[in-house]
Amino acid sequence: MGNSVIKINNLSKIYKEGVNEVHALENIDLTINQGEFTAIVGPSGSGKTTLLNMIGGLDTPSSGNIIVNQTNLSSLSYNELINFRRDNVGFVFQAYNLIPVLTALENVSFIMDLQNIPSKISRKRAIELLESVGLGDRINSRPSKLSGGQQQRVAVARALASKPKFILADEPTANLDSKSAENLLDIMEQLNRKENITFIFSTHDQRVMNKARRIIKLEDGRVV
Amino acid sequence: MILLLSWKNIWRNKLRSIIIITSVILGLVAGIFVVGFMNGWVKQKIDSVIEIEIPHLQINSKTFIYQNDIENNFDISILEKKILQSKRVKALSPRIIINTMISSAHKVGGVQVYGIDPVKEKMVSDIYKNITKENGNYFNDNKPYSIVIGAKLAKKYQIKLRSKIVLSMVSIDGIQVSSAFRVCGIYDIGNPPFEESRVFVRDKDLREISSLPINRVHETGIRLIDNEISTLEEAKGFIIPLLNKDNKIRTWKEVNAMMGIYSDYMNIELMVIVSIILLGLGFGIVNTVLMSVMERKSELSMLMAIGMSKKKVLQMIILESTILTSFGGFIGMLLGLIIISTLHNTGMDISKSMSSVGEFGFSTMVYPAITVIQFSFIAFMVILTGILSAIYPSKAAMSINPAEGIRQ
Repeated sequence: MGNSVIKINNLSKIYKEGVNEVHALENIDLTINQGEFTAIVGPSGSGKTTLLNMIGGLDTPSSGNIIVNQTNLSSLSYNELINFRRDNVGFVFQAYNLIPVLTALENVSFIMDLQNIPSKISRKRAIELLESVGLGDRINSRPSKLSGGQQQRVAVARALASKPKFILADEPTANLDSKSAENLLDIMEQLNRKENITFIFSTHDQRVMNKARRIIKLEDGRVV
Repeated sequence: MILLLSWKNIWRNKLRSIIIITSVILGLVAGIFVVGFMNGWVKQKIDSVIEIEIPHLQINSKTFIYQNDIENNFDISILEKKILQSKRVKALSPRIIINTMISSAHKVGGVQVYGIDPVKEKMVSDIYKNITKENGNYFNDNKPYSIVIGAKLAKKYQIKLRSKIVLSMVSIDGIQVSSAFRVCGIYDIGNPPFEESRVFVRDKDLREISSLPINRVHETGIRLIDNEISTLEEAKGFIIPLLNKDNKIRTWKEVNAMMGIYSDYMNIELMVIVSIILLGLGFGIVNTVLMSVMERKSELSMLMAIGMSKKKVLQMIILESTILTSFGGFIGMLLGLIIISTLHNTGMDISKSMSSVGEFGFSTMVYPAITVIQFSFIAFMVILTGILSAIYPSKAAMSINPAEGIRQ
């Protein structure tokens, strides 16, 4: 066992829909260690995205705790959660979610600007990251000029830019063709192995499951 | 980076931004033009009033102000020298003012006759500049019993240059007296009510007819070195202690209350006009920025998810709105300034569209102008409009739940 990055204790999330209560997550206990390449799998509505949102501090639990590097997320205020996300979590979204008016370089630099990193340093790091995902020659391209796979690689570079403790990737290959998906997974696996970066995926994609070294299966909000 | 992003966000929908910028430009050009036009119009009227009709300051006996009787006079001899010691005073002209009946071959009516020393009066009032060569002169020939009358009076009474007219009045002794005068000049200042009611003769002639003792006058007009309010107040402050309790000094604003109100409230009125224009534009800007925010809900959610604080979101949207407004504002103000400067030099002839204003003493040639304070106020209001217009869209942006917004 390595050092634990995330410890989840008895986590539950209940949504209210009118008078009915929907148990999105029920009594989840989980530990994720530094350097894991983990896939959270399960059918639609099983709670994968909810769990990822909880870990990323985008949503708050109804009960239970999420502890990231000794910080209990439940104890953080709204603004502290924003800073937590900025400094600890890298997000890769299914729809890439890049800023269309900014270039690849600017998209990657943006989060470092939020961290008040001087622009010279952030620019240098952004170029290095884009080169590491194979986009060194497209740094000045806007998202509309890049393919889906290339956009998702920019998103990975952006997720890495803030030097996060872990990366949460919600269905990162869902919108990609096979070749682009394989290519993206190779890059992420390489980053994981070389730089010991922790990756947590939510996915239906068998290719992701094949690459993952740990699979967490969710069903009806429970780990099975 | 926030500034860069805000700038790029503005140009996502070029047509929409161009429409709103154009609205700001047109609104501001219209606002500046209205401000400049009204300014020029009123300033010209005020300058004309000061230079021709009412001096900067005038001293009367208190009773004369309410009753223009010949006996309500005061001694000017010592006062004149003391007043002229003020550095703010350029010139002074003692005046005898008597209500008289004027008779021409065609008509009889009432006028106020001003007995003046032409040399001193020229230093205080520019009426002499408004006599064309064909209409005579301002007491240039030393013929006694000469009179200068207004163009409107000349027309109404069918009086021509060198015509003889008779003035009848009650002397200081209460005796009805009359004397004939020959018209030596006809002034035309574009203010018919003034032209119809005031005629000018030499003070020594009027003193002779009315038996008013030497050095006794009804009014002293004082011209200052400039039209600044500070000069006016300073000079008034200097003169007040010199007056005896029966005399009163009044500024041109106090003498002509209407012009005083124009002057004091014009700034407020003009600022209200600009504020209303910007308020209207503000609603357009709110709509544009709000649409832009709603279209970017998913993107704003992503930004908030990756760690952009609400403060930065607010900053970004305020910047977008302010840049949008200021961009149009800058062009609008520049265009407005160019138009005002051009018209200030060439003048605007409004005689065809607003010919009736001449009947009220306003010039039909307007020279628009705008003050630095007014221009700065407009610039400030433009920026304020941009900031205030961003509040509602910013609130909408900050209420977005990032977890929900990302998946939209």
